[in-house]
Order: sequence, then structure tokens, then C-alpha cells
Amino acid sequence: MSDPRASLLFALADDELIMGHRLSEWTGWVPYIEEDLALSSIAQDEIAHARMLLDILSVIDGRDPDALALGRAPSEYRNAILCELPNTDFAFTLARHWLYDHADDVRLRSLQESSFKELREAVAVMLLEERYHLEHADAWFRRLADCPVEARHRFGEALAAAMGPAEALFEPLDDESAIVSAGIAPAYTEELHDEWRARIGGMLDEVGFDQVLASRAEPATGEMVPTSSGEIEASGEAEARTPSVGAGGRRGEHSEHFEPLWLEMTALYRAHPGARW
Amino acid sequence: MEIYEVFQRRTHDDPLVHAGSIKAQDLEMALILARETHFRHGEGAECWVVKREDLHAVPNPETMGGVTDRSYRRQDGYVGVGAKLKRVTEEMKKLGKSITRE
Repeated sequence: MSDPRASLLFALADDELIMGHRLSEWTGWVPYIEEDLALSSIAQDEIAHARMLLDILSVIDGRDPDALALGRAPSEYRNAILCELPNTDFAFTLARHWLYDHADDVRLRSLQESSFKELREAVAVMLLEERYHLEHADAWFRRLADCPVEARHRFGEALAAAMGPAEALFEPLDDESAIVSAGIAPAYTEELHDEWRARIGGMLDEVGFDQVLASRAEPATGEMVPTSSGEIEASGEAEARTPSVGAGGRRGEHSEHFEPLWLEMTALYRAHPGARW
Repeated sequence: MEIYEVFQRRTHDDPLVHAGSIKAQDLEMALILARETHFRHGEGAECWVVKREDLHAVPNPETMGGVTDRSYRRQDGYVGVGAKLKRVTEEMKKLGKSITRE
């Protein structure tokens, strides 16, 4: 990519867009309407944030925001694989939501000091809503972690399954040294990664889920991964359907789950080019 | 889950009015979910919640306000006072008298 600002904006916008799309799949299916509205509203926030970022990117890239959101080939998307994984169940959805929104908060706070004025201004607006996403995610985190045996167990498994792909949110960006030396991003993703690990590590410790973070030091065999069938199963020799624990998204290398999502997300745009709301 | 009643102020100067009800596990979730259920379109400047079981209805509401005619205590008990005053003033005038008002 020629402009390092574009590299950063694609990663940020695509994470928000794909997270928003996945969360929107819950609309009408959450066990009670209040939470249905909450998840749907968060989905709308994430998509609105993607739009703000794509508006900025549009000026650099030349394509209009709709074309950037919906008119790219799958390999052009730079979202982390975490975002595209199927919702699986409520436990996995909330585990990912919690891991993602803390990562997003760490990176957005850092970008408050960006030298890129338009981005800095967008981030200030996004943080107003992200604060609420974090409250929502933390509230569920504590509740599910404190639940009786089954809910706590399923939430712990979901956190373990999401942990590897969540760490890949911090894959280095294309042109990262150019991005940081120009002050577009004030910190390297590796520094943000450490900050995020420290933050979530503290919270995991508090609820006795410290093994979630510790398990990442071990080889990936035997960990719990979500599968396309919607079950969470132990991975290993028998479970090879999920090709990786989640790296590659920042290079446009997506999981098997991305294409079905992309086909649905872009169906209207592809069927009716140039259609307007 | 508990039922919480949700109240809003449209602006900070307006009185609290009932916005609706929600179900939530506890107060913290109620505060989170109330805003998504009833304030998604900028309806209000403030959102308040209270557990329904903490609201208590006054018994025998049919006797509230009394059961005898005490309309003189109410504003609508004074309908037509201006016309009455005008009529009396004119009658007094015919008698060569006047009513002085402060």
C-alpha cells in the first residue's frame, strides 16, 4: 500500500464492519428482547464507526465509502480473523465481544494522540460509544464468570477458543514502521498487545480464569475452537476444520468463514450496483 | 429476572415520566439495557430505573381526591368569575356605586 494511513484505516474499519455484521446476525434471536436491542445497537454502532473510518479512507483511496465497504474482493479485507468467526453461541459471542472491545479500546485510546487529524477526531467520537460497549461487555463477563457451573464452564471454553484469534488482532500492519514514525499511530501494535494482555489478564485473574491467558503460552493442540457446525469442540488431530488459530487477517488471508459472510454482506451491493438507501 | 420500571426526562428541566418497563438480572444490567430499550433515538436527556417491587401503589385509589363536591378548591371551580364580576359591576353602576379593585 502506498499510503500508510490507508493500511491503518483498512484494519480499523474492517474490524468494525465485520464485528458489526456478525453482531447484527443476533437481531431477533437473543433470548430476551432487551439484550437483543443492546446487541443490535452495538452492531449498528460498529458499522457506523466503520463508515466514519471509510469516509476518511475514501479521500485517500478514491473509491466511495460503499464501494470500500462492500465492493472489495474478500482478499482485500484486512479485518482480524477473530471478527469473522461465526457467532457460535451466546458464550462465544460475548467472549469475543469482551476480548475485541478491550483490544479496540486500547488501540483507540492510543490513537487519541494520532498526528492524523481526521482520524483523531473520528476516534474521539467513537470512544464515546465504545465506552458503553465496554460496560456492556464487562457486565456480561462478570456475570457469566460468576454463574453456576455450566454457564461459567461454557464461557471459559469460549474465552479459550477466542483467545488465539483475539491475540491476532495485534498482528503487525503493513507499513507499520512508516505508520508509527509519522505518528499516525503513536504506538506499535506490539506495545498495544502488551497493554491489552495486562488489562484482560488482570480481569481474568479476578474471576479465576487465569488459565485462559496462560494457555496461550502452550502449543495450540488440544485447545477449544469454534467450528463451522456451531459447536465448540476440542481441537486436535480429530478437529482440523478451522485452519488456524486466527492469524493472517491483516494480510487478507481469511478463514473459511469469511467468504460466506462476505457473500451475504455484499449480496445487495453486487446484485444492484450503485443502489442507494 | 427482575422487572424494572424506566423513567425519563426529555430535557434536564422536564419532570420524570414513565418510559416503559424492562427485564434485567440486576440493577447494573437494568441501567445498561434501559438505555437500549427506551433511549435508542435520543428520546431523553436522563434515564432512571427502579425495581417494580420498590414501587408501591396507594390503596383504594377510587377515593383519592374525596367523594363530595369540592370543586371550589380547583381551578375549574372558578370558571365564569370574570363574567360574574362584570355583571355585578354593571348592576352597581346602575345604582350609582362602584367596586374598586386593587
